[in-house]
Amino acid sequence: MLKHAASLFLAGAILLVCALTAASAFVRGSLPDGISGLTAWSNQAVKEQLQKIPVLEQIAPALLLGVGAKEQDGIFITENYLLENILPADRLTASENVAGIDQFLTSRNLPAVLMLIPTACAIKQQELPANAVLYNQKALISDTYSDLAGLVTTVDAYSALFAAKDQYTYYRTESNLTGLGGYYLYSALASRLGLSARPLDQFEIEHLEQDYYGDLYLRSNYRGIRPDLVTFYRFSRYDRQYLLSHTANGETKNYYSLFPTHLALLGSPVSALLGGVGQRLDISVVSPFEESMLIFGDETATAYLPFLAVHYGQITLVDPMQADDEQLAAIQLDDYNRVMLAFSVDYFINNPIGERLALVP
Amino acid sequence: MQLTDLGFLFLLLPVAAAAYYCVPNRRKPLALLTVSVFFLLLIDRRTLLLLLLTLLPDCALLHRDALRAERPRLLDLCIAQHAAVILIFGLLLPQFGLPSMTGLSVLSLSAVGMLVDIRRGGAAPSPADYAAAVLFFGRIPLGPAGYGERVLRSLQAPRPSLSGIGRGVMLLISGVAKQVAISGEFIALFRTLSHLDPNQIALATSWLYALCCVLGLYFVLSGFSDIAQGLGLIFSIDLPRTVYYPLQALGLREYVYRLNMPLEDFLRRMFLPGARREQSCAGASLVSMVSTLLLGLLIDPTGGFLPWSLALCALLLLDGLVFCRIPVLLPPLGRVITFLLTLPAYLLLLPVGLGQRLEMFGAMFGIGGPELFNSTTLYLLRSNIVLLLIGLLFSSSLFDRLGRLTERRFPRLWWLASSAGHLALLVVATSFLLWNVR
Repeated sequence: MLKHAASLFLAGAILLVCALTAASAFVRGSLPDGISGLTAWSNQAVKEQLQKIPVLEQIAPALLLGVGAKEQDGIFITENYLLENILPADRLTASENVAGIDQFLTSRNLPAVLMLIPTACAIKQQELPANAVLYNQKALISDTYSDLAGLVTTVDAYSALFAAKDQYTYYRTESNLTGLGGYYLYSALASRLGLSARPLDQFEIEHLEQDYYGDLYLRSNYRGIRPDLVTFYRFSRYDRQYLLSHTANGETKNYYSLFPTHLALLGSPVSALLGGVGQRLDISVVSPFEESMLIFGDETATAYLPFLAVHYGQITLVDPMQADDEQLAAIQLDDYNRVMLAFSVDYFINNPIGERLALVP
Repeated sequence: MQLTDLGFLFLLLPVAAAAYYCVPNRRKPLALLTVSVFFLLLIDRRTLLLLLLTLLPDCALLHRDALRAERPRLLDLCIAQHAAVILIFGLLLPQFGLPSMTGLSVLSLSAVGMLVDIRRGGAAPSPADYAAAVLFFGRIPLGPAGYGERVLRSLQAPRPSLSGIGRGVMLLISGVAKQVAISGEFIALFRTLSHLDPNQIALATSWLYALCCVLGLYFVLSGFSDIAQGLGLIFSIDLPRTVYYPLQALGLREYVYRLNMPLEDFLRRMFLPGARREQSCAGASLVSMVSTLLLGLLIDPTGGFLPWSLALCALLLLDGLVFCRIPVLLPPLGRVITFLLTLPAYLLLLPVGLGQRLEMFGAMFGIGGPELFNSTTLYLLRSNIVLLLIGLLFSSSLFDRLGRLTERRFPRLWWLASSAGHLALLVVATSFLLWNVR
């Protein structure tokens, strides 16, 4: 009798989820698109059903944390931060990128600025468990800079950010720099570009979101971390007018601010920072400066570009991995006074940037 | 579709099982065939297509009562077509980069096993029974290859019971938990270790790496075995256990046998009929080696496990010449020696070049003067010590024996504790599954 009851109890638990899922799908009128879509549909339907019990998703990370696994799914769970531990998918990518950049600059006889930006887990080492196994970002930056010595002007982003390691320079729940982190990058960059960095008090601080949870929060399912603060630094010393143009798949969208805040209402709050980074972004600034700059970069640009834009009349940001072949082939290097390559180390070691740059005429 | 998918576990499987139990016993083979075809269609439609093509002539001949021991040539032709499918589509084409077909080799091997039994004088089943026994989807996860006739017996005399379904659900839950919770964590640790710089490798790191590989693989195989057995019991089919605590084997032949017992039994039945497993002869050792090579290819048809299989074969060869006496003389020490002897073979699973593998190999034996411990190893040990202990504990037969003893002495307590424990395990496994699909 007992073994029948126990069997019924276990099988019943699974049947209950099955019945609830089926009933819920039936009520919503959600049906699979034939046999080929059945697997994806059933997975999604069950997932949605089980997600109605939020605690269920948190059991796995809590258990792992309980048995001492501070690093879960490549994310370090610390008291104050979720820090992504980056690893190269292919050990050769970084060296191929160095060769690709060398070829790109040499063949075009192009002076350029190179900035490799360390990720949070290289800077916030005080947060990490002692002797944690990390990819040596400092060594990669130093090796890359020495390999490209004479070809590029290098920017020591590592030292600039490490000096401010106790400050809020990286988001707690996302792998990107905050506005303050962007300011430190801008300060390091300005001295190498021959610009005089504007002091921070010339920028007005605006808080857009106080309870922002980034992608690492969603990935880790660990809920014991404080939310992030999304902040803008708006230049307030002199009047500037901006035209922000996003070009993607042949379509252009224009915004008349560096921070189109209405986008935050439609999606993530951080998409209000320059409208996010897409295939190509052009910033035209009405200001006394007429110099133009072309940046091959990634999403870290959302942190430092609002500061840099103060010194230029035109800035174009192209993400080499997102831009399509035609967009890369349409770039006219002669149109710009300066060219900068600025990537996070994660982006640099995991994407074939060199291959993509070869498409630029 | 995978057998650890949320949609399969919580929606498709319960619906299929409920439909199966609504069918009267005499129609169950046909119902199981329908369920298996349905799931094979979702798992890999190429496997299903190829199997249907090869089973069609077998079934036509069975229908005309032409497949009998008296007509060996016809049976040989049928066996040859399945063997050709295993060789060409299961083993050869994946070597040239073509995608492997899930479950093809395992299910075709079952067809070969059943046809060989008929050739040796066994009774020919009905076409529906034969097709249902060969295509049973539950054996796909590297399950009990070659045990088609066992499925057949269960099909011909089905004995559905609630407690059988309960046991099946328990095995399925523990299999899924082993796969997603334990082996998943070992694989994550394995990845961390394989990204270490060569200068971070100490002697202890290389042993930790090998331990992590062996435990990761054990829980993958053991999880598959439990899932296969569990699915079998849910559909009232008695399937044998595939893996039986290889890490505590007494001797190398025992070790490789315990990695996939039905596979070696099948090969022995094919090539050394009547021979006992304990028998020590060149033929028996050869069967163990072929079984090991085949296991490597079944785990990874592209050949990623081939160096590991070859290393185990080399050890088996040495076992016959040198080591065979050690475990017999000192049984407890023999188990430790067997475990330690097989550990270095797992370094061959390192996803790096030959040079780095050799460096790791050297470090394992102190060649090149590596440190005994370094800060990296200490960190990895400290943050994974509980996982390693859990892995070592559950890869021994301790809990299994304890469970069987409790079930014999206190059956009520066993059912109560077991169902509560498995419900907790279901919650944990579901949490990991949700975490993995997010």
